Amino acid sequence: MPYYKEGAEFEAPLKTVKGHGSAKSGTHHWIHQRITAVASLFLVPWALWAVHSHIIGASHDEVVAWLSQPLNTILGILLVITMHYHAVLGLQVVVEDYIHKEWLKILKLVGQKLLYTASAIACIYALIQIAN
Amino acid sequence: MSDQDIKSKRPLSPHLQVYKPQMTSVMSILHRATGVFLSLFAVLLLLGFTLSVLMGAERYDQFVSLLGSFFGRGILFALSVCIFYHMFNGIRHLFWDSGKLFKIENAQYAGAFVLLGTGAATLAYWYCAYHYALK
Repeated sequence: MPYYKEGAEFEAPLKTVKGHGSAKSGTHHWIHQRITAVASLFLVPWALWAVHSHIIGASHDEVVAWLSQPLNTILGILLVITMHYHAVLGLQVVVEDYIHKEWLKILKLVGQKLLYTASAIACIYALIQIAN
Repeated sequence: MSDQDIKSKRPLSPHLQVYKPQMTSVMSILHRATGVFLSLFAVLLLLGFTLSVLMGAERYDQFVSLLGSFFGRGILFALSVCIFYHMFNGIRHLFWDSGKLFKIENAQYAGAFVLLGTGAATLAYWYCAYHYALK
């Protein structure tokens, strides 16, 4: 045991923790996950209700007319943001827990953030264009 | 001491292969599984819906008939189960976050409530879809 102190077998060697920064953003992640969860508790039932009462069986014109109402456009955009953000936060934890190859983990974390950002922007763009 | 020696001395998490599945642990992993499923298919549904409405009546009708197919309805049914499960179990998680339901039997009662709620909500939602919305 050349350079480890007695009883310090469980300490991570310095090189494995260098470059990762200090853990300052964990709480922020946890709180955002809860905020988006509570927001979903209102937005998802609204969407489920909307599917039944305004979307199933409706023509394209009727769907456009319904989606164009300001309140529905705004709630729709909020739903898109909340769901995409909540999904990214959740997938991040899953990747961090199960993927241990560093390069693959970084690739997945960055890749899914970019994909979900693109998807959210596409949905929001569509909702605004529909309302125009 | 090499890195490998240190890793082998670290405490291990439970070996899932020899662990008896418990309601709490199975429901925990299901929360994750439904979350991953939703983050793929619910997001795809939002994307497909908004973009097809934007692209006009013809594309929208194609999208709707895709969802109405046998395969589409299967995906939608799975989605509805996942939404209700993740929502109800998410509420259970929020109770835990506020320090409640930590006694094993309370966690299990809440778990049973989640499972029953998921079944009831899914059935009610599809009953309404076929008896009111689809007409």
